Amino acid sequence: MLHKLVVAGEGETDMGVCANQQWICTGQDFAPGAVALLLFKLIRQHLPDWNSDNLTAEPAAHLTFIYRAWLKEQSKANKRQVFVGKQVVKGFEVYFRHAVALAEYAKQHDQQMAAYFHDTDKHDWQTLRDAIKAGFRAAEFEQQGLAVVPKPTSEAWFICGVKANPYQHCAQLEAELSGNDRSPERAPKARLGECWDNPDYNRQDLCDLVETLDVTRIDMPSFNNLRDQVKIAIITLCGECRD
Amino acid sequence: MITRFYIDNFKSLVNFDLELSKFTCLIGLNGAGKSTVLQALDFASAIMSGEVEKWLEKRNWNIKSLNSNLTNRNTIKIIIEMEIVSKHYRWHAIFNRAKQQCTWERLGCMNDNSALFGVDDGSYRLYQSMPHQNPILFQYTGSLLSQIKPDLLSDEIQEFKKRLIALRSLDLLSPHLLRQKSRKSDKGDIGMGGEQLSAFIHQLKSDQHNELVRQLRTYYPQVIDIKTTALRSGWIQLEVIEEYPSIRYGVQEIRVEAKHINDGMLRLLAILAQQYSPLETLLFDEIENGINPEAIEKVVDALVASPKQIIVTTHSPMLLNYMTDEVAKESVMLIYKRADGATHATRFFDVPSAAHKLESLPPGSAMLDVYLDQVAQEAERHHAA
Repeated sequence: MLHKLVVAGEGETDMGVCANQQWICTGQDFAPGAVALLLFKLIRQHLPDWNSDNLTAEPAAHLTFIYRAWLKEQSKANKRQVFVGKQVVKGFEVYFRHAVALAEYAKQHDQQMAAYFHDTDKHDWQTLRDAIKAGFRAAEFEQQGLAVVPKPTSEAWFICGVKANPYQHCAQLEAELSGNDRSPERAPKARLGECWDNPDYNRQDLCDLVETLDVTRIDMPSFNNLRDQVKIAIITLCGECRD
Repeated sequence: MITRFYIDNFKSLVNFDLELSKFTCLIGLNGAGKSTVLQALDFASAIMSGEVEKWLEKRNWNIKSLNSNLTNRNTIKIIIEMEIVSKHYRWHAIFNRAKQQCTWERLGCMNDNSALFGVDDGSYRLYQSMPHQNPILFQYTGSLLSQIKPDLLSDEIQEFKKRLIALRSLDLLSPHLLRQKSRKSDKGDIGMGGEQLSAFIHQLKSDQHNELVRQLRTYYPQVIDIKTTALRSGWIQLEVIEEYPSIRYGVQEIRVEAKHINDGMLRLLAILAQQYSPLETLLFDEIENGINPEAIEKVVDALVASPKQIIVTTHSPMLLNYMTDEVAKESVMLIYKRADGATHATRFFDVPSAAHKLESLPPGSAMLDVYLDQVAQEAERHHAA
């Protein structure tokens, strides 16, 4: 049964922020970000009824948030092993180690899932996603470890739900948008503000937006991959999942 | 301690500047010029001792092949800055290849900008003992300091000279030479390729010998002693005594002659033995060669803690991983070739992408997780800016 999951991200607009000046927080001390809320919504969508009934509608009660700084510190500890090789491509060991550290935390603190968020940005999506999954696998938490890797950034998933023809041809967004917010034409943040008619949106606006999104209709390769991972995790934990 | 080394027109080193710490670790791709840096430092030391010809002979090099193909200059310019008991000194020399001598030299104290020694235009000055210009009426090679009687040199000059001469690059260290029997020598070091190892260990005092055995045992617990024997012919033979449990005898001692000792143990023995040499600055090329990963941590600890100044080159991420972040930030230098072919150095973890990796990875993993050529380009852009 899923009751608790641990998440880590890049900044306060994705997985969230701690209100208590700590590196790790949950419940009232945790202000979940838009991606954490979207993930929670996606999980609830696929959880069997008997399990989702046990999850309150208050995500922070079930989510534990870990700052990347904590993962960085943990990642540095293993000096004996060098992981770059065929499985973890050069340039991606950081994500591999972060995933290992996150999974270790989950296992030690009775968290049934672990989700590591990172935008694809200008990386290769598959390589980044595989490095994170390899980290979960190394920590023997592969099925319950979620590599949350939107392409090119999380805004692409949000744009899908607010653009002129919502949820239509969203896969194109992955190719159209730039992984670089400094690219004026194709910058995901600017494009989201445009679609939404709200160029100065803030963290709370994004969280409110997630409330309105229909996760069943977001059809993008990077989101579908996350959905598949969520389903596998739920089947591992609950023995079944809702389609 | 040497704090800065500058050389111009030595193989790929053109206008090359390197800051040195008590422990410095040079990393970089093959052919970037890491070994050349060690050779150049060794060359500077040979200039100071006046043994340029011998130095070339040992390496089987020709003086003509010393200069860089990247410039047309005939002379090699060297600057060495050294810290001696909280005072800083700078020696600046112009070495003329055709004459095999320094035709221009300056040695001074940087703290008060005082001059100690100078060579210019066929004459020299010792500012404390002989402040007027003295014509050079004799032949010399290398630095003129190598030819002047020590009692004419001030303490400061003597100390600088002594310390620079007490530098040795063991870039030719090889198991083949380490295995050789050697004759007694008064040189007091193991030789450039390690060929004097047996004679060097033979002359150690008993407490030094015991400490060496103790240290070797921490890597190879089966070792109980190192024996050196003076053979009738004058050669010194090196053996390692190992102990193994035996069903028949309880404990069985095995003597292993140098020619059968494994490469890694011999190299380690050579590295450890150096602590008793009178040398002050030691340079090792690809220090990790032949040493099994289990021993690397102790090797790093020993090098970092060594009272001598140590400069090593390495390709081993594991070696770097066992440095603390503070040591790595200070001591790891990236050696790379610029677009024009000249070798350049930069403090590796000062480059933002490497520094960023160091936030999540131990130093060696950070080195392996970046492309060194890209880090070099980044460093170049940084310099240009």
